Order: sequence, then structure tokens, then C-alpha cells
Amino acid sequence: MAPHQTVVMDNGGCTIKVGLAGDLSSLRMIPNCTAKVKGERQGYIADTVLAFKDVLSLVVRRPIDRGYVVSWDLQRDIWTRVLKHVVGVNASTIRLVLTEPLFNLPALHDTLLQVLFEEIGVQEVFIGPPPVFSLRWHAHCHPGSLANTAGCGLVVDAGFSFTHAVPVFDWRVLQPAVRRIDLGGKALTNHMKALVSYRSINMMEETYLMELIKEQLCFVSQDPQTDLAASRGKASRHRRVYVLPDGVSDKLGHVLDEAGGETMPIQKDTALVVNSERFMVPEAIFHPSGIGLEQAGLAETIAAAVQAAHPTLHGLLYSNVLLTGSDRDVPAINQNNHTDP
Amino acid sequence: MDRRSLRERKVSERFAVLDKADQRQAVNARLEALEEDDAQENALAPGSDDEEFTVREDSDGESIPAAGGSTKKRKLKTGSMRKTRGMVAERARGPKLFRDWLEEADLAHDPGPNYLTAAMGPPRSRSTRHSCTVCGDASKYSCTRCGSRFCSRRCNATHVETRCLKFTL
Repeated sequence: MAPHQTVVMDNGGCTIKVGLAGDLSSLRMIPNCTAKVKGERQGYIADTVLAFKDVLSLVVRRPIDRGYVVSWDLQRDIWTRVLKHVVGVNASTIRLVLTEPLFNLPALHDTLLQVLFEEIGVQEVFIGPPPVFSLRWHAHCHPGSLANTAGCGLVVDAGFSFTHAVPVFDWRVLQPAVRRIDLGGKALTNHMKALVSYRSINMMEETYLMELIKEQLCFVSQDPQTDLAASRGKASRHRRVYVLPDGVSDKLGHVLDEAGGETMPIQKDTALVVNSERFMVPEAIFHPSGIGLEQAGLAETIAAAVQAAHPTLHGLLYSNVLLTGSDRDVPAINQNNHTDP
Repeated sequence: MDRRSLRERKVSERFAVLDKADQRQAVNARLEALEEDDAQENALAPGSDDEEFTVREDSDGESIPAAGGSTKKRKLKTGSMRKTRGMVAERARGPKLFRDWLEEADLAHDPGPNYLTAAMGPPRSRSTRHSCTVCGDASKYSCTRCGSRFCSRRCNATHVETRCLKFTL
């Protein structure tokens, strides 16, 4: 039987982005994990995690370690579930377009093929690096620019597990010029979790909730020194209070709306105070040495990746820097790249 | 062979300065912890039989299809799952981590661009933005023992009392 549908799947460390080729409305973001409440037997997988609203003490297991799939049993179960119930196709009748992290180890690549063909049973598969797909889409949305016509650009992929600066030319990744910072959204979440646990309320067991809080409150500061000075004391303008979920009326918690006249909750242990962490946590991407990681920051990484490419490409690469990945949503991350020396 | 003074004083543990390697080890342990999935996952994983992780579907009671895309549907009884000795052993160990795979691949002798060559080197300039590990404010000082940053005597006192090398070494 000839395959008749093409499924596109981006297998990310945090979420799987999946959909049918040529049909944007079928695009879904599914958590790439299984979750269960501490102390209970029943687990939840992939899209059922989204439907599950009680986020307190959620234990999350992910198949991906440092950006590479290592837990294949888990990953196979998630893929099977996603293909069957989210996309709604029979896995044995499809073509699959799949992303694979750069520099995947040969042993892991072989396992990937084995799982796809023998256990999931897809008909045909195309495996490619995510930055090229991003750049293709970017070129599709902004046709006409010189760099996009040449299939040339620098893709900054700020993901969940690590951050890559990837020069692309003629739709090919320039492998020797790729640069990586071993710091991504997951590390930031855990870092923030440790900080607020020490300073405010113990959140060490609430990684899932911390992820939500980070997404709502963090931003990239244009001038960390000034902002740090401004966040001193009680009258700090960066101070926010996150009301933790009570498990009854408020399942996810929310940011306290002080301007709207909402008052502090009576119990102190339900109000998480977040202050300078809001911008000092994302700051780690720009200065990893701040948290002890001996690697250069994002701006220097981009420059190094461009410098490592052929000199004639420098102009084209600098003219077309594309920022993708889950961390791109941190407000103002874009401007900072321009201002940072 | 160097002669050591017989009158060597024993320095109190509170003032003993760690050497660079030990400080580095403490920092690395902290960085390693940043990539962990869940704090209590490790406590869960080995051998605790009643706390095992079984994934079921909630609505129709039908299990996740088994390997090979077989259409046979197994009914999964609550919490029971056929276990082979290999599965039990793997659960006890947990899946192989990326670190182990990387060691096996032995990339140090690989000439081409690979995972190791893509890693970004150390920064050319040191960051001037330090923040106090206790309160988050800008900090000027660092702990004499472990090298963590702090901003004031009060924060240092808190640091020494609650944190300084208590959980990492």
C-alpha cells in the first residue's frame, strides 16, 4: 500500500510539534513527556497531560536527555500515542518528516531508524536538522531578500535543552561552524526553581508549575544593572506575586493583579514573590559564567559561529539572523542581541 | 621530600579555603542538577515497586499499542504490566543517559565536526554582572570557602548558615 499522507513532526525536548504537511490548521503542540501525580499510580502521556489540570506535585518524565532521545521505550509510546490520537492516522500508511538534533550520535541515529521502521512501522521517513526547516519557513514568509533566496542565514535555535547558533548556506548546515551553549529552557526553569525556593517558597517539587510561572513572568532586561538597582527593597517595580493554585477554583495559579485591585492572599504560603529573578534568570543565556558555566554568552556565540564560516558569507549571515526555539518567546530577547556588545 | 612543620596548626573548617578543583566540582554538581528532570524522580526510580510508573489511557481503557504496531489490543489491569528481568533491571538503572552514549561514541578521536567541536568555548571577557546568591542583589564579594557571591555581611551570614558547601560536597 502506497503511503498517502505526510506527517511533519518536530521532536523537541519539551514539546512535539506535529501536523499534516500543507495543513497549518492541523498543527499541534504536545508535551513530549509522561506525567503522574506523586503518590498515585496512574500516569498520563503526551496530549492527556494537557487535559490534566491539577499541576501540583506533578512528576514529569521526558525521553530526552540534553537534547538527544535516550529513553526509547518512552519515546516510542509517546510517538505512537501522538500519531494515533492527535494526528489521527494509521502509522503504517504515512510518510514522516522528522527533525533530528544536530550532531546526533551514530548509535542513537541507528536506534531512531530501528524504532521508526520496526516498531512504529512508518513507510517512508525524511530526517533533517530543525534549523534548515525554520529557515525554509522564514524564507517562505519573507521572499525577496537576497539571503533568503540563497538559502543562507544564521539560525539561533534557543531550545529546551541547549542553544545553537547554526549558519546555513544553500539550505545546508555548515557543520564545522555550528556553535552550542549547553543551556536551555530546562536549565533556566530549574535555576529559577532553586532561586525562588531559597528566597520565597519551596518549589523544588513543582517543576511543571515553575515552567508556567517562568513563561509568564520572565523577560530579558535591556540593562540588568539598572533593573537590579530598581528591584531593591519593597518598592521594587519588578516585584510580582504569583498566587499558587489552590486545587479547587484555581487550578493553574495566576499572577496577582494588583492594579486591578486584587489583594494579597491571606495565607502567606500561597503567594510566591518573584523579584529580580524575572530578568536575572534569562540573563544566564547571555552570561553563562554568571551561573558557573564556563561558556561564552549568546552574542559572542553568534559572532563565533559567523566567524567560523567562510568570510564571503559573513555579510549574508549577519543580515539574516533568525531566532527560533521555545525561548524566543521571552519578551525582548531580540533587542538584547542587538544591544549586547 | 618536603619537611612539614610539626607545629602545623589545624585550621578550623569554617575558614579552610577549598582549592580550585573542589570549587569546580561543586559548581559542576550544581550545573548537572539543572538538567535533571525532577528532584524526586531519582528517589522513585530504583526498586520501589509500588511507586512504579505505568502509563494508561484514562478514557477507553485500551492500552498503548505494543511494539510492531500490532493491532492486538491488550486490556491492562490496574498497575499490572508484564515484566521481564531485563525490564526490571533497566528500571532499576534507568535508561542510559546521554553522557554514557557520548562516552561510548568516543568522539575525541573523531576528526570531523561533531558534538564536542560544536561546544562553545569560555568567554573572552568575564561577566561583570554578579548577583548575590542569597538575595539576588548586585554583589561585590565572594565567599572565601566556596566562591559563591554575596552582597553584604547579613547575606554572608545566611549563606554560611544555610548553604555554604552543605548540599554539594
